Amino acid sequence: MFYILLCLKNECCGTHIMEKIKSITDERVILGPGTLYNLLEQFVAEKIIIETKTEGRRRSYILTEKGRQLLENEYNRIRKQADDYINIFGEEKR
Amino acid sequence: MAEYKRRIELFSLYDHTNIEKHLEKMAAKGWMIDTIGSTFWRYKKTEPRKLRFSVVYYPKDVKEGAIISDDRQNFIDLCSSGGWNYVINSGKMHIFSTDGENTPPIDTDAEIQIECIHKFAKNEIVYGYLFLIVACLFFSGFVIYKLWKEPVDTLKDASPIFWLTPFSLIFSVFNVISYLNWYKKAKSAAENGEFTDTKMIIRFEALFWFPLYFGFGLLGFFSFLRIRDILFTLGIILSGIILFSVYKAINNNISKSERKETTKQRLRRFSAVMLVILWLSSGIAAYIAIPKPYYKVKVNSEFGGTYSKSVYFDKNAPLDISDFKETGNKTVSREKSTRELLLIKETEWDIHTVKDDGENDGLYTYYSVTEIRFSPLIERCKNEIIFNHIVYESKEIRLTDKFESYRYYIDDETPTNGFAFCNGNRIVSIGFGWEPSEEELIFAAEKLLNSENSYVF
Repeated sequence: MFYILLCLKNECCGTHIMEKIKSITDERVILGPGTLYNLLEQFVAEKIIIETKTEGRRRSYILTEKGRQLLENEYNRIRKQADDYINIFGEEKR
Repeated sequence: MAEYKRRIELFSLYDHTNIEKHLEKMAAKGWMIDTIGSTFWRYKKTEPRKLRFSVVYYPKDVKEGAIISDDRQNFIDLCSSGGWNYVINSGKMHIFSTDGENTPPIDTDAEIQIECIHKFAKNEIVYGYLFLIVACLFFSGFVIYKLWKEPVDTLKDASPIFWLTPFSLIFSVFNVISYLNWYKKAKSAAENGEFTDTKMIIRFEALFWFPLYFGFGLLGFFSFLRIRDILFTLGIILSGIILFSVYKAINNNISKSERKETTKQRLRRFSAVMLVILWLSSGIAAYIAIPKPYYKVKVNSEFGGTYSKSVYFDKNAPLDISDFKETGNKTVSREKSTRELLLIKETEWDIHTVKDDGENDGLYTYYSVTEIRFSPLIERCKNEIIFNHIVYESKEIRLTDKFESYRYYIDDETPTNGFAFCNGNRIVSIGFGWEPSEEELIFAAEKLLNSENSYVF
């Protein structure tokens, strides 16, 4: 979910989302097309993203304000987790 | 080599793991899936290829036979851009293949995959089977009620629906439980991000349904027929199979020949038409040639005019008119019919004379011998045949201590020439065209209650 929303900061279609995720995570995260299709449908229904345009059968999406907020919350959660780690293991190292 | 082949496939449609493995094996042998039916799947001949297959369930509603919507095409396109080629779909179930060994799977999230499978299975499998279970229970209730009220009529009935209800019920319950069991395990594994392979659940009902239905149906059908009709029907089926094999062989030879495709088509059509004509004409000729078990005579009605009557030649009636009356040179028609299935056997005889000059002399007797092979049912059968007769009331008459005897009455005061006897597991119901004496009744009862209850053939 995190990476899909991350890719949708700018308008993007499904195929490009898969490629982008692959590239930004250095192929560490692989997203299957079936899973992506289901998540996009779910995100649209929950108004986390909106469909911006349809070129032929290709659909593009972009984050909504709600989606942006959700992504930020997730980022803060992960960052806090990282801080907690550093607080414990980082001090030990010193 | 044939271009297509059909196979009976008994996969449950949610069994994606085994469907994928199976399609991979078929593709490796050079057979690519072409059409998916409920039981028969068609494969197209291709070059043997090492392919990976993926069976995925489209999450939205799909109208069977509808043109692929833009929405669904978008899903297919997305899968294509992920390296998967669309092969075929059956409703919501979509099949993709890829020759790339490292192509990422279509479903990379176990929870989403289970959600989609369950959405599909709930509608396509669970609700379908639940409907079948409810229908079976409803029908079973009806059968039990009928069995209680009319055991003879119910048990001698070879109706396939009646006998297959328990089978349907067992298979349906088994399939629903198997699926729900898998779903529970898979859902709990998916919460930890793990995928769960489906187990091979053979759709037993598909495996058994047809042969059982066919078998019982045939049994029910044949229980009405005489040996002549049975042999004729089997002959028609067998000759049909043989001629179809001949057609396939001819077709293969035509395909191998180096003629033009249009000529080949014409030859195929010609051979098919000729074989069908041969099949039909030989069937008609056989039907005409095989002697019938009866002939028709014109009989003068006592009310004026004539009507036609069938004279049957069945032999070895355990009780004959000649046992009571002088038949002289009169023609005697003896017609026998037997219905038998597991617990009950019932043989009926209709014996009457027809004068050679076409006069109806009204000398007749008809009787049925019912043998019950399951003793708890004897009393219920007696009730049905003797005591709860649709038209007549029965009163006990005392002929001898050796067996029970009853006479049918139209009302309290009007006796008929119909009687019933009962001893052990046998019930005899008999009607006479004359008022029988006590000796004649005892004679008839003893003969029928102790007669050899042979098969109709």
